Amino acid sequence: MNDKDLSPAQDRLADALLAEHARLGRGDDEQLISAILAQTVQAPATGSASPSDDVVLPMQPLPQPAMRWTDFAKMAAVVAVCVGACVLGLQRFQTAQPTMVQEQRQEHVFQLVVADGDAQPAAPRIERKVLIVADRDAEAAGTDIHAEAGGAAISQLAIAEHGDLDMPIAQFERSLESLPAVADRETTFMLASDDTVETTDDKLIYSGNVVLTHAQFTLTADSLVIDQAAATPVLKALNAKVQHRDGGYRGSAETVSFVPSTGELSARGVTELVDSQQDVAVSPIDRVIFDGGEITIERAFTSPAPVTR
Amino acid sequence: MHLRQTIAESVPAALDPRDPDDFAELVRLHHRELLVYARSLTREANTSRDIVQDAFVVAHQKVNTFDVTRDFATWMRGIVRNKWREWVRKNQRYELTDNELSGMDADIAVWQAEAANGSSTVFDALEVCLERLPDNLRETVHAFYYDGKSGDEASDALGIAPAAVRKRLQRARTLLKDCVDNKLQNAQQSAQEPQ
Repeated sequence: MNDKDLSPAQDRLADALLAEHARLGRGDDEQLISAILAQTVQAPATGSASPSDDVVLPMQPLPQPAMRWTDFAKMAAVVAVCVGACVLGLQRFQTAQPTMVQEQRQEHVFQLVVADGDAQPAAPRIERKVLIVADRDAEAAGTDIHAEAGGAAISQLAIAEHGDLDMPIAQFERSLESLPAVADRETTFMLASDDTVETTDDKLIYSGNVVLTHAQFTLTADSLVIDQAAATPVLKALNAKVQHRDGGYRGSAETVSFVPSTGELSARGVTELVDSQQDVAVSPIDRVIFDGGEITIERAFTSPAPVTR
Repeated sequence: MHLRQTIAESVPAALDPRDPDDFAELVRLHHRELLVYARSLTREANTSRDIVQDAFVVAHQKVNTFDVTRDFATWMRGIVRNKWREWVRKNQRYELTDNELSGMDADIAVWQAEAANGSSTVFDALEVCLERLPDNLRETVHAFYYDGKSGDEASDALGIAPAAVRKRLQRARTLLKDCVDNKLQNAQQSAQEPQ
């Protein structure tokens, strides 16, 4: 065996060979073979029968089209979303009056600050400070329904137009620049969503057009959950898109997690990842870590028991 | 550093893809090498299975247009490549250059030929070559590929830096590819020598 480097394409081939061998050893992929045969040589004939073939056959189940691997993934995603929706609905039902954040208000803009936590130095906590609460029913554009300064350097934010978040986001980004210390900017971010629910188990659930604006990135998602009771609070966004300013890259993923205390931003189930030059190939089972201007991909491989021929 | 395809005809004459039983046998013979091919193109396990599945379905639909004097394995690789190109266009993924593609294609051609000839497959060769790896590389390969550990997890388990894990894996792949190429080339040569 000599030791000169492989070309990237040859390295991909060796990587794929090892991954396939780890998956099934020397054996056949019986599931794949069955799926192929069901769609080819074992598929029911589609041609019309001649009159002489007109015989009565016993009833048989209708042929099922062979499932594709991505179909399984889609079905799993639909089931997960349905279960999630049921759980969310149940939580909202169970926690109706005492914990709902003013049901009549549909659009909220918050500032969350990671405090040093003098009382508990080992466990940084998230402080939620309501800067703006915009009432969807408010007709007058630019009306501040409620405003509370979150810090001396942060200017008040205003919803410029009904339902339009671009203006407050831009204002928020400008207000970050006025903060004196970089550390403050890194631990300050804004969350906006159509709806917010606080559950009895101390979780904050943002849903509908969720926008998280941070000094380094902007994240949009269908929903976002913060477990406020956790020792290290993590913001977990579902069906999210990330646009990173410093790194110049953007991506879409099933889940994106942000740890405010460490600034770590990571994604799983990545469906798209594009840096400033080109598309980056990522498997849905890989974990992608957005570390400032760099992307780190933790590759994952499954290894079921080998099947021998 | 890829092998040249030295066996043009990789389908035993007895197997006619137009015959249902022969087609089923050809699926069994070629699917795993085509899976490796599709996986190296897409770098996605599930997508590679979809591509191989679709490729065989297309082949079956068009089997009557297939010239039986041509090589079935070559025809299948062409369909897999077309399916991959469709996927690249649809998903805006990075496309490989023609040189990179032809290099990969030549290697897979040799692997398919070995499998079709009934001699040892590329996976047999890989297993022998894995045993010949230096211990430190073999344990890294096992941790990452066979135990399914991430780079960081393998790093923790082996007590080395993540960068060292990446380096070891790269080196192991280089050695394994070289060893597999040599083994298959030798197998081809011995098969071609007069008895």
